[in-house]
Amino acid sequence: MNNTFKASYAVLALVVSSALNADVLPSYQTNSAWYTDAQNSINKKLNSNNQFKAKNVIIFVGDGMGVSTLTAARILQGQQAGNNGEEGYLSFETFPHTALVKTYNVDAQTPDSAGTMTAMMSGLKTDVGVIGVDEDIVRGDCSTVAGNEVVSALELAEIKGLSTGIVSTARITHATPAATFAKSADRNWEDISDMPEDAVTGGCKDIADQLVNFEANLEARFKGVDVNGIEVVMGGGRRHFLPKDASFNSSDAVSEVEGDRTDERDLTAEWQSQYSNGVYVMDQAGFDAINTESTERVMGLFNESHMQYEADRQNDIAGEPSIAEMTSKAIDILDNNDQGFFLMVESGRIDHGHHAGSAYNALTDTIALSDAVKAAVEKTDPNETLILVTADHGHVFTIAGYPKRGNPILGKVVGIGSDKPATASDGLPYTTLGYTNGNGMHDLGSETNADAGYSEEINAGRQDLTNVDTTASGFHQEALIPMSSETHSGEDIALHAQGPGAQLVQGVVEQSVVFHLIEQSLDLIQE
Amino acid sequence: MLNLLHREFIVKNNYLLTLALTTISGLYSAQTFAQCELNPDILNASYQLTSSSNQTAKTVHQSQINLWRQGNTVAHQYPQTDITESWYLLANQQIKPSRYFDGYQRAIEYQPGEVVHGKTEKDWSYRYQLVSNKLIEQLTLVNESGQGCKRTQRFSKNSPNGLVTLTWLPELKLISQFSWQQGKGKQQVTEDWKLIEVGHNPATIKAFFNNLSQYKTTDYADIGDDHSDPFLTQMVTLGFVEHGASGFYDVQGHALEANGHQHSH
Repeated sequence: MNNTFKASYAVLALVVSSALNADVLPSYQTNSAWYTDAQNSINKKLNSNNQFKAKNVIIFVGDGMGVSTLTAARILQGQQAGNNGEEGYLSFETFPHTALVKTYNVDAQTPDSAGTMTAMMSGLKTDVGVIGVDEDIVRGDCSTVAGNEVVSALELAEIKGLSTGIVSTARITHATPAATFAKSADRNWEDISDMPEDAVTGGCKDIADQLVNFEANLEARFKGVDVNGIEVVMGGGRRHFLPKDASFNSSDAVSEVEGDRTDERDLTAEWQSQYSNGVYVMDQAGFDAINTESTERVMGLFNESHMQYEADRQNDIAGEPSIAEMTSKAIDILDNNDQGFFLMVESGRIDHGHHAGSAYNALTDTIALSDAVKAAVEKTDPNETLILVTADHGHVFTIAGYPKRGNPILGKVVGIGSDKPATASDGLPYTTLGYTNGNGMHDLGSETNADAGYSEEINAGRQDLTNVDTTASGFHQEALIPMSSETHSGEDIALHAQGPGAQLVQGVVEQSVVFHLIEQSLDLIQE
Repeated sequence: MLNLLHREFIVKNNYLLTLALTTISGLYSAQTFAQCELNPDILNASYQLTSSSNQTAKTVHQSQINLWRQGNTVAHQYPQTDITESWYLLANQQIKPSRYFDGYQRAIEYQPGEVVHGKTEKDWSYRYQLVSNKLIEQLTLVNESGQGCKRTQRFSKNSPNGLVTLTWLPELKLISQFSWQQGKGKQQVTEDWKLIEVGHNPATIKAFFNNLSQYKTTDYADIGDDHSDPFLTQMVTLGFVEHGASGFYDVQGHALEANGHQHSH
């Protein structure tokens, strides 16, 4: 087809289509909500601006929040609101720009959070299990860290004078948040007691230590640079900051000795001595008391280990804020800096819910993340804040069978035109949601902590669910292949974006592109 | 119940029983006061468990459980399986379980107040004493003797489900002897627990718990994080320990384990 012909054909098509539209398409088609919603969606995209530079960037990472998790969570969210569910959107699914992201690590087809978050934060892929270092590292070998450290977007934002923040519902020293600030040959080196002797004597620092000494470490690596440190740190993981001494236990402690550190250091006290204007909090009351206008800096460690699942949050001893509350509070503090801010928010327990084989916990935490994104959207100006929402990897989590529209997403498959559960060829009912591998089916009733499934023996394979309420919070889905815990998956995950620079989020991209999106938008590396 | 421990062994002599009786009778000779001055919260005790069944040929199995108490922490050590289970009583009365794999020097920590083995830990007396107060309340006091730490209560209950007897040291909140039978004839199953050793040396007890605290610990939420860790990928095949005397009874005193609900170990 030559160019002239193509142009003529296009003009003809346009004329014909606009001339025929009103007459050819029946009104029941053009008046259909499906039709008008889709047309409005296109119109909205036509009106999108082409601004590329942002003042602020917020990246949300749903750990393990694969595409099937998004779909199932959006249906559950809709059904909890009394709707069929399929027609709705998670808050960030209405963002105008989306890409698919390839998640593999340099040495692994199916990745882990350490390698994937390093890719997102530093712009290059690396190995499984390592934090803030390139692929030349040897996992667990301290001597290979020096010379292989990579720089993160959060560090560059600090150097540029932006305010910075890290929020996670996991331990703040866990792989995903750690990749924003730490360099470690092993993701498990969360405190000194987790490290082998040769790593300690070799001069490697544990991840908690690196967080508290972030400012000094960054200034040491970049001579002449003067940064003021991370303004907002909120998450779990108090155990890695406290000495192994019961006298340091907080009122929220769930262990006889809360702290794990074997070097007798209290890193919360060290942080407070470094930042006399910093506020350290460990419970809901302390969190609520933070005045975001007068507070320059916050360290909130709300749990000895990971923070609670959203569905289990009311069971916390001293009380914990939700991920939406933490996001809002973080933005209110960070936006006091006129130069802008960079904030990373991780929903860390979606991943844990899936690992434990609990769709309920994974999906309710995904909905909580959606609420946090909504809060961020409401608190920021879309003309100056780039918001990215993505995952680090997926899980072997499926939506299967032929359930009818509006069938409870946590329920058994009920086919179109039926009110009774469909049966498989073994004569037994089956659920819409399931896992390819993992610990298998458990009926733990009203339990709201997915991890309780780990106290059960493996129960993989087909089970008789006839008399089981699979919509209960304590139900763990069937799994085909028996494993101590369910695993990550290797398929692509989604990236959703709005704000300046979001236009570049399109196509199928390597995960390391995420860093470059942030960098482009904030001009972190200036020539 | 008969698969109580991995490495059960057939009783070949009565050495342990003899030792037990000698030890108990001489245990508290210095404690002649009406009041027991020993602290039940600082204690270790060893039990010999003898299980016998008439179901096929007469079989007798013997194993051991060590009970350790230090303040608000209690541990049940199963030497035959190299597994120790421990519970910590929080100020808010929630119970936090941990499992120690002695052969691996590794431990799994659970959250307090959550479902473990299909039930929520709520009855501290069950872990602290190996027999719950709820069960003791169902038994009939037959007689009482001794004083101070040696004060002994004998309970029993004979029901259509079988005979339960308990010799109890109330000052120490400790089982001295506990046995139950269920079934008749070839269906009869008998379990007998005997206290064979008690210690109150704080240094010994502290050393035991200090040793456990040196194990590499994994939060149970993190089990899925690292599929390259052979311990975490194999751990579940090591099985679960779930007993203690009253754990085998429902509220009517039925021996649950004898009804076919068995855990692997």
